[in-house]
Amino acid sequence: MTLSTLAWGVIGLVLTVMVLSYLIGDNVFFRIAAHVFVGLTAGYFAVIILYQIVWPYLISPLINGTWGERLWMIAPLVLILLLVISQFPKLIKLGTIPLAYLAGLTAALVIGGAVFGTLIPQSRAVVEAFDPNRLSPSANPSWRVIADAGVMLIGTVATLSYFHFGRKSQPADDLEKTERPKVFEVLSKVGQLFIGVTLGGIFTGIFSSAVLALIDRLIFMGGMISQLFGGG
Amino acid sequence: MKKMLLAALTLIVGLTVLAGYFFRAELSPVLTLIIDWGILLLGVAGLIGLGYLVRMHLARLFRREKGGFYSLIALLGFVFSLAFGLVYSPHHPFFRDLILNVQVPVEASLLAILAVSLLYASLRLIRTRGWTLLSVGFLFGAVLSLILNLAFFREEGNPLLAEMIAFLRGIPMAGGRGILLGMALGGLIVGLRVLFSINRPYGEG
Amino acid sequence: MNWYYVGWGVIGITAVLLIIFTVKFKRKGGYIVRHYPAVEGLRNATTTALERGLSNDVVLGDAFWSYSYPGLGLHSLSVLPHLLTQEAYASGGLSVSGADGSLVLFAQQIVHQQYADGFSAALAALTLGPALHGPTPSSFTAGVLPQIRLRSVGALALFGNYGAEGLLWAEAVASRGGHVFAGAGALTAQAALFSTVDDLLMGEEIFILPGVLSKTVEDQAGWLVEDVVRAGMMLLLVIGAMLKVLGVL
Repeated sequence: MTLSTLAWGVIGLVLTVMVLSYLIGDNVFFRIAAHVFVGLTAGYFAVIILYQIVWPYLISPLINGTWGERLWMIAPLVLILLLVISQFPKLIKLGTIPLAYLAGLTAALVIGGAVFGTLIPQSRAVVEAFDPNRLSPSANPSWRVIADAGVMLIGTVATLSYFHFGRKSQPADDLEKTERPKVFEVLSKVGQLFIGVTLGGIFTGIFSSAVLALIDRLIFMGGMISQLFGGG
Repeated sequence: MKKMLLAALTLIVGLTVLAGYFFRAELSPVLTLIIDWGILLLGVAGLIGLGYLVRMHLARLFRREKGGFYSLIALLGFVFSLAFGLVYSPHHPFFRDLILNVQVPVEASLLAILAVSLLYASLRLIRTRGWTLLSVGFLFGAVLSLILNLAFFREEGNPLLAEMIAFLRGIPMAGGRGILLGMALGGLIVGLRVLFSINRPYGEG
Repeated sequence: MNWYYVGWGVIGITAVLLIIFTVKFKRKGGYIVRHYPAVEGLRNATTTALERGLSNDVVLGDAFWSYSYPGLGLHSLSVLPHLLTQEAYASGGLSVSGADGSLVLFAQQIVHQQYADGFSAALAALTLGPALHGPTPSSFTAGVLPQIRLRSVGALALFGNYGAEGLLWAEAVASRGGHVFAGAGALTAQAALFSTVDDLLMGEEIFILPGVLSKTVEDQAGWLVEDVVRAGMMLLLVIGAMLKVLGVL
């Protein structure tokens, strides 16, 4: 083990102990480690933005680009300028222009992403599961193909009905004010089970990853301590 | 008047990008430009955001507020990594080592803390939620997933059991699909509302 | 079947319905939605925090845009103006934060606009400006946990795009007697917060906000369109499955 590897290992060990000390409550060691991490990450983040965004998208075209390319950079330069000077309290309203630009761009990406990235692929998967060609010849037995497709359809439709916003037309009491119209209410009961099962499964997944991280840290600490004090 | 101009800017940028999904080849040069400018603006916004972080810590330090000492640590870390990264580039081995040997232990340790919080949270499930269809489903899903992930059942030589397990593994996907479809639908409406300037996140009205 | 055109159809129909219902509700009528106790919990908690002189913290999430949950960043910003009440300003204990520079800049504009629209500038000066505790999800967590301890947070409201780390923020507030409301959009956030946060809106439920905080005609139109398109989608899934079995699709 080289001196530098050992030094980095010790830094890692100290930070690990300081952060894990949060388990016994918020304390000065956790706060120090947290602030070291925040500071270093913020600096690193700034460097990455400068190297990977500002340089290739702004500085490089201005220095190395043709006159035509430089002319095209006037618009983003103006937008950036507006964004920067809007940080002065009296000029804050100027920031609305670049932010309106970003809002339009993001809205379009949200619409496109929601429909072509989620809505269509997920709907398609539900419908395609009913393709009769999956039954034969298939690696899976027919009962499973049918059961998979059926559960998928029922689960998806029932889950969607859980999210219905509208309420019963004439609620008799406060409880009924939280209920959906009849058809959606019945379907939503099934939906609740499916949502619960999904979230339970995801919970176990997150928990497993977190426990693995805990084990990894314990092994790391054990290894470092034995190297430092046991000569190993 | 200004409101109208901002709404028009949002609409024109948004519709051009949306049209790009349909006429990709024809609009490719314009789209590249719009998206590149957007990336640049987001980058600059990121830098200004970091300015907010620095300002907050500076204020705490100079106003001698509670936690000023920690702010000093954060500021020193920030200046050090920013200066080092700018002088030697982010690819310098020391810079890489510094970030990795701070980032990995802290992030993994935060995840480890989360393990304890999750365990504690799971014990309070019924107290928080009571016996509802959602909580029963949650318990069932968690236990099922735990059993399946622990490879409790031996599938070898038992094709029916293997098929049953494969079927059970697929059940959580159904609810997940419904949730994702709902999120996409909500996202679509939020996007349209911003595009039509019904919602104006840039602040005007 | 060309699913690509189906996608455009969904966008077109949704846009047209949104315009029609907005115009219709501006003239007459509206859409009544269910009662959401979680939102009531948020209202009560923010008022209680103000009365006790404690801080109200609003977290806008980790990202302005993400591939998995594209609408969450914009949604959190649409909720923010409805949380910026005059009382919250007057108390001086309102804190808005996020882990993304763009989110924080948008929030800054919204806060400014809100007081420019009627609140006094002196009141706004009392309020902490939007903060960025860290530029990544984990650095934000590392930055916000000590903050929660240093300031006395009476109510924490989580919106936008965040994952299981939201549980750590929630636990930090709840362990000191604070109240937590969470609008959890990401699946990981829903799963992590389900067993601890009483006042939780999960998945598509979050889009009931901001309308239930202060109802507008546009919100009602949005709810109705979402219900109509969702019901249409459910129907289409069933019909699509049947046609697929019959070999028509």
